[in-house]
Amino acid sequence: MTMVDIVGVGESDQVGILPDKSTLQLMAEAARNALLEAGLLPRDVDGIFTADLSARDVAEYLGIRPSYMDGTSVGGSSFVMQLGHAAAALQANLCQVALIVHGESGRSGVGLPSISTGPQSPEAAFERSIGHFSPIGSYAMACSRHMHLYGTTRRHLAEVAVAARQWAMHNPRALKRDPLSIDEVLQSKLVAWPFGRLDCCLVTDAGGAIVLTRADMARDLRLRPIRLLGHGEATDHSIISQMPDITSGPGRHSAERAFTMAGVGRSDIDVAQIYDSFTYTALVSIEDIGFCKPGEGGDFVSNGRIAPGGAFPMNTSGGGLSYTHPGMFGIFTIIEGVRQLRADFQGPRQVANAELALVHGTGGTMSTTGTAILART
Amino acid sequence: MDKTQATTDPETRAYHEALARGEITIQRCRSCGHKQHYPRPFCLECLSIDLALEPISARSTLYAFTINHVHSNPAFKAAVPFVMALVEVADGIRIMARLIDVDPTPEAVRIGMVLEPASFSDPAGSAMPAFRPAGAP
Repeated sequence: MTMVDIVGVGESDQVGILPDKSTLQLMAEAARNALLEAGLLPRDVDGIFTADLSARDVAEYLGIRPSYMDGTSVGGSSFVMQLGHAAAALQANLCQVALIVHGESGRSGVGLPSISTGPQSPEAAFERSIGHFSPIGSYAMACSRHMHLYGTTRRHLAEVAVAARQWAMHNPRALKRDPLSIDEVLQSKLVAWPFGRLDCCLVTDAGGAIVLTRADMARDLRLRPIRLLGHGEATDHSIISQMPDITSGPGRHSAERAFTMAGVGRSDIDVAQIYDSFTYTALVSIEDIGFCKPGEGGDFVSNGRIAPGGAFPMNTSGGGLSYTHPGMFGIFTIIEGVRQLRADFQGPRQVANAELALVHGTGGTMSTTGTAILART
Repeated sequence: MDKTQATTDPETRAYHEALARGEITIQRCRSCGHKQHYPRPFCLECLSIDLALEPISARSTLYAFTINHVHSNPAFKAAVPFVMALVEVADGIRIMARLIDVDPTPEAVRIGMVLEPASFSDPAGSAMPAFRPAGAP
């Protein structure tokens, strides 16, 4: 089958706290930066993939008249899932240049579409009306059972937050760059036990974009293309009370599909970008993807293994916990994975000789996952 | 938080009407025996529409929980800290409910503890599902 490559990535001009920029502007800045990298123009783009926002509004705002649109909007995993959707559309020759794009004024709330579910939804009738505070309460509940079954501790969770901060200290665009200790995470104000404030991702304003083409076209573009070697997605519920096994999610299936398609193994991965909406999200995703067995995530992340200099470099931007998180972080896992494989960075943020990257997004209440494996060409 | 809006579907309305009578219910298919929650217009196993809404058994267990110390909804903010529970009421069927008559601390709340059904009134006065430790005074 024809292979598909990522030929450009971009963030909004700034990320962080940006009360003067709307959701559409953040989206448009990211699209422009990704197209500039690729050396392509809006008129070259004929496939639009977006979430939250209307694909119709996005296409018009960017001056694009697409032949293919996808508005799959299932939370933070949407954009990793859309890598697969874009690949399928490109391989079927339904479009020639695919743009996955997202903007979200999540912190400042400028021009943000409403994404809360309505009062008639199952979430409202069977969870929210009782006082359930989601998503944080949903992830906290899952974590409570993981702790009960496997002896996972709040200290294990804190390891994830501290490692993210250590990576963020090497990312000049990260919102949080002050040193952070395990004890500070443990002592942060309780929000929804077992999570304290520092177990939770940031809320920021940011945009991100990805440009993909078939490999034959990618060869003639500006930058070294990054190959989409494998992708998979999976969904097993929407609200947490419907999750079949609360300590293990659809990531098991999306990861298996991605690895099977890519024809590589877990131990071949050089760098991983794994959505960290909460410290626990990253910990349990490591298990679901198969980097360790169920219940071993706590030990896996301990002793600096996922921090700079550790054996398993993960979330090298600082992740949603310390870099940025406008609401749906998934697109930034792809951007960082691509940049690592292109060796874009100077200094400790760059993982030496990275040839294979895994990116993994989680949406909803561990409801939906997308996994992709990217390779240096 | 408008309950009249939240109970638009007939199946959902019947569930909330049972709650108002003090009963926590799940659906059972009269054709194949499959049990399901939340209520749907048909059996997810056999597509039968012959469904009964039946009270759960008196003995359920705590599957997972969180203790809310912060809340975005002003109506619930006044009640923090409180325990939200996922309660296993039949094989593989879990209901989101408030856990009452227990200290809202991780030391007092134990996954696997045996619970009995109860109810509480939300700030608008509607009955909502709750559980308490079995045999609590």
